[in-house]
Amino acid sequence: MAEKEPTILQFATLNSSVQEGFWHSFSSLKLDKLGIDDSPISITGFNGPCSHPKVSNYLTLLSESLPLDEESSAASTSNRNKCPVPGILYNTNTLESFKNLDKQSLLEAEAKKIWDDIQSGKALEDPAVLSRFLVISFADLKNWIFRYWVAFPGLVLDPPASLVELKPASEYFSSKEAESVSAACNDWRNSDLTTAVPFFLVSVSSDSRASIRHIKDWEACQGDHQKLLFGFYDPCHLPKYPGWPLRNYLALIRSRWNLETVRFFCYRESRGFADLNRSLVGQALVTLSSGESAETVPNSVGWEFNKGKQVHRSISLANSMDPKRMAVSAVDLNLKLMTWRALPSLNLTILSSVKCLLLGAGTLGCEVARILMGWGIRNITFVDYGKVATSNPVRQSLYTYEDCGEFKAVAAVKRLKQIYPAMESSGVIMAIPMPGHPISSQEEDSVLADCRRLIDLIESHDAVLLLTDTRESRWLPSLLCANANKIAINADFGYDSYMVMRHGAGPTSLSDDLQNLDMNKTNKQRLGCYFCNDVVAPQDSMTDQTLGQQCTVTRPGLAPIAGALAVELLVGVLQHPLGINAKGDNSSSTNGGNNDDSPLGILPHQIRGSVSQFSKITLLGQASDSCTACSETVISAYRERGNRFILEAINHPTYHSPITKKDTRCFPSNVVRALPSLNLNVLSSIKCLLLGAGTLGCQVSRTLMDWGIRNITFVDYGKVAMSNPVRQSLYTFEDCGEFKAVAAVKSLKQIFPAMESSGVVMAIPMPGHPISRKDEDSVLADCKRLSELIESHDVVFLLTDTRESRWLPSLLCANANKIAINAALGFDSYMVMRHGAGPISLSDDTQNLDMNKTNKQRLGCYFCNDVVAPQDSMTDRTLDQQCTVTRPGLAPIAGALAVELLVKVLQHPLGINAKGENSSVSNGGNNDDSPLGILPHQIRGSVSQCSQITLLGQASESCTACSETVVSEYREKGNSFLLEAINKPTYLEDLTGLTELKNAANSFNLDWEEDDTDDEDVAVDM
Amino acid sequence: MNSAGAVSDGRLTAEDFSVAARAFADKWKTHNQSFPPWSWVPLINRTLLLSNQQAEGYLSLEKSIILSSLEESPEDESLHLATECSEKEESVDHAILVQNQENEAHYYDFHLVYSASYKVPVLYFRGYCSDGQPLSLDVIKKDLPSCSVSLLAESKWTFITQEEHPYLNRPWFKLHPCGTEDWIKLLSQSSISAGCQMPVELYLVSWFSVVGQVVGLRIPLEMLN
Repeated sequence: MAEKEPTILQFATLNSSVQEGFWHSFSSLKLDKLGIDDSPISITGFNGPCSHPKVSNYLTLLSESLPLDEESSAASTSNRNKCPVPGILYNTNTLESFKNLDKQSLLEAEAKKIWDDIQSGKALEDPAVLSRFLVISFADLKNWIFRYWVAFPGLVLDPPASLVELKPASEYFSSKEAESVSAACNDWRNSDLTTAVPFFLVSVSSDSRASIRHIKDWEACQGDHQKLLFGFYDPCHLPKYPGWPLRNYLALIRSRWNLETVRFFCYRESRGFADLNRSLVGQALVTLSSGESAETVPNSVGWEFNKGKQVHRSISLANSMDPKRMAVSAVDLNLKLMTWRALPSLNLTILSSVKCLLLGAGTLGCEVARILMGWGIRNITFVDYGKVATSNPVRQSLYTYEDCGEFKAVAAVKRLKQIYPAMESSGVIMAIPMPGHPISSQEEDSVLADCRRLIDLIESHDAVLLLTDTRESRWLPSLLCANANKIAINADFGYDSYMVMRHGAGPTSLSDDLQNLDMNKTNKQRLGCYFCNDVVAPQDSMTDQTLGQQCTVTRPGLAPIAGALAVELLVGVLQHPLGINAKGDNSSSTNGGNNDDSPLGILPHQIRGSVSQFSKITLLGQASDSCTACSETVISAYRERGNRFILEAINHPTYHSPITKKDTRCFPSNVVRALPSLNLNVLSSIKCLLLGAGTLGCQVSRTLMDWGIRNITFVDYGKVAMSNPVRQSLYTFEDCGEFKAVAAVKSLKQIFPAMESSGVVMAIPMPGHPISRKDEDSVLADCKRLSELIESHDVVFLLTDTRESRWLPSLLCANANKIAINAALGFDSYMVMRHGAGPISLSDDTQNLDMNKTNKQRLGCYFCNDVVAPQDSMTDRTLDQQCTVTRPGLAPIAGALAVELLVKVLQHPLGINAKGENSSVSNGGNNDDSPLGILPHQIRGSVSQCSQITLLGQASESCTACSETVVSEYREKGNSFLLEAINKPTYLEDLTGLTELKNAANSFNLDWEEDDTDDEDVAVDM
Repeated sequence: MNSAGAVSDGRLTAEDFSVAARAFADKWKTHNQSFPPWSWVPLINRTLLLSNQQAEGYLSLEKSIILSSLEESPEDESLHLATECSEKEESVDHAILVQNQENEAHYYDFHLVYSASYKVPVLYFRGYCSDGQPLSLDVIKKDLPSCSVSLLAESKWTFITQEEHPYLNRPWFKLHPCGTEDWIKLLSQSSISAGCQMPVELYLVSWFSVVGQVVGLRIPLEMLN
């Protein structure tokens, strides 16, 4: 290779990598601090030597690239792969100004800074300034699109430098030198002081020993070295080219030291160590141009290329920044979790695409809408004529005090969007035409228009939920659903009983399609509608009659229960392969076994239940041929005569009689029975402590409020997560990130301004979760706080999501003899119980003897079940689990029952000492004790089987929470007892002599889960 | 005493986690040099933190590179938007060598974070292109070895969900932790039956030997000793 025209030295461009985190932090900075201020911001980029054989290193912008808050600025630690590089960000407020930025002069301005630093010598002290960079951007924060362009100003040498030679460093150095150079580089890189200095000198003495020096020491290095190389961290991976930083480095070298021949060293790494096979050594020839002086800044280049073109880049981060999208994915995740964990065959697509029409937006309508949301149903239309009255918000869970006077159909839609922004919901303000309510001829047109609208609404929806408060208003929708063969679900309640049913298919034999014969067969067995019951001769008039009622005085717990069951029924129908034609199952008898049809358990026709008796039964009623709403006669008359038929029905109360040959039964006797003995003062003065403000906590507080309880304290440690609002009825989308204990209080006040509610953000200390010495004080302080909270309240609700967190409250309640109500959820089953009185024989008051007697029979606590030999392991064991996937309908039911239990205890003359009653057997008759019906000890139920039973469990002598041994130990030793229990997992078992029994109990598997809270992330929802 | 030394119930305390995390990072460094090292990221300035201020943090391995063939270059609207802006060029400079990546690299960040509610470690991860564009789960699945994909499909304890990173407050993917306690219990019981207790220092190694497979990170067997 003879003398050849020297080639121009080319520098491989540097590329930028702007991370998501940078834009996230920049967005907050822009929104919270900068506003429309568009002055440039100093930022820090990060770079390092190339460490991958095929990929160059980038100049990276991270969230910490932006100026930090004052207090955290000290935090930055030097990181070998994150060498800081100074930069500047010009963010514009409009796309126009972004486009109109004078990029060339911005680039020149930065190049001038580099040049000035070279001249002043600053670049020798802090060589990173040679790699100074520039970013222009336009952040579209409405659509989360960021347009940006990065420039790495490079000073143009005139004439350009030429390359004499370039080869791998391992070839340039002798092997001895190479070893020494590697070692020296590794030392440089491993020292916190030098690792982030990207430009340096490599000097190799004649005895092959290498050392790395700062470039400011150049003068000192003269003379006594055989080889002196200008080293730099090379981000480029290419084996034939040096990277971009060399460019300004050469400008510095030429300008400072007037060197014509420069030997440079491109330092590259593998796996965190110097790699001299990939590092390069080259020789460049730099010609000094005549007219150069310190004052004239060289030309500069450096705007980044985007896929080979000189264009800006843009990134869309809507998926990770749009809170609505994030809420959608959080909520979907929750539903998926349900399918993954418990219901692999659940078809979520059906649910998310179904359109539901809710007739009535009152107590039931609100409840139903919330639970529909919990199941992932996104499309809900409300039809209601009324406005929110001042008494509504405490009962009707979609309204707050502010909504009073607003149309319900409007307020409900607004609320759904607040809870979950992705809801597609609309409201129709309309009265439903009713038979037997004559109208004048002027009104005819508007009534017929309403009918038309209702018909259109029913046609355009997949399922209709009849939730109005009069029986007559259900007639036209029932008829229209039967006509259009739409799924109709009916929910209704009396004072303390409820009825939920699904209508069967319409009498489709009328349609003249080909499936006529098939359909006729099915029709023979089609299920009845709400009005069929009126005419099928009832065998038991008490349980079979419809519960029409106008005056909506009901027990507060009924609506959540009936609403939950109505939605469960709808979901069951939607998931059933036969859909609307599915047969009615019964929970108990013969066909109770055919669960296979639906992944969700049995699918009954009707469910009726009573809160006073804690009973729940499933019923089956076939369609009646002489039904006034769904019979063939009526439907064909409607099809033939249309409007005229409807008008006649509206104007003539007895119109259907001749057709159906039977009189409609008189309106059912008023189910609202007064409760003269109910003591409301007890309720309004009671103070409730709710441990846990998750799904159950929200539900319980709402029902408490409805019973007139005004004083509620929440204890919770968690924050509202994106997925929470659809299930946890006190929160809206806006509350996300807020502490639950705070958001819940706020929400109660919005519902009912007179609430006296407070929230405590606190974790409940748990046994068997060891803590360090340092934490002891704070944990004991938490114990003390909890104990004081329990002392100062009358009732404690245990609604946390772990079993352990219930232990300390159970113990403290037993000690203080406070009423404790426990509710826990599995995937499709629930358990609600009240704790018995504490082992007060320990106290030395005068009633000792009396109390001792009672004690013999005192009721068990949540932990007593663990040790009382379970007779039925499936129904008797406690519900443990953390992953909180439950069926959406469970929490309303369990929450309502928990409050029912409390109210009954409060009204019972013996209070906490009241015996446990059972709904069915011998002592089912003693309703007289309490004005509200029976008072069981435990209630367990399953939604998939539509079953519910009451249980009775006595306190165990070796219970880990409420036994005399434990309580007296606590009284004697106080804190040291608590610490022992917290730190030593087996302490309690040892104390109560339980260890062996416990082992036996452990062998039962844990497929039950605890409350809910679906918060995957925030989690400690206590 | 007993809790500091060995794992019995499949869970960890926050302090045990930081002990186990450092042990894991050290072992990784010595046995797994082809990967970047894990580093402990301490948390500073969490103003609302009530109790243990001392050892909170998470383990982080960032910028693990997976090269993918260029065929599926992420179709981004950026290019369409972008063309409008190209205008007169800077003076042509022969000293520029425009680097065109022949390989589109995908970068992965992995964080091992302690979940206080489950009391187990949780794997958070994300993937992104060099320009910072996050990768969707579908793209990520293409990067994973086929055994990981089938593991994801079959095992009900290893599903990936997207959630907010507890410290960074940005959505990351995570491996849902709700089964972790159970299978760690199984693992530790099998080691108990083999005559030894699983020391806390090995917790993360055992845990990661299962979890890592899901995201295509294997650990050498020597690490388990």
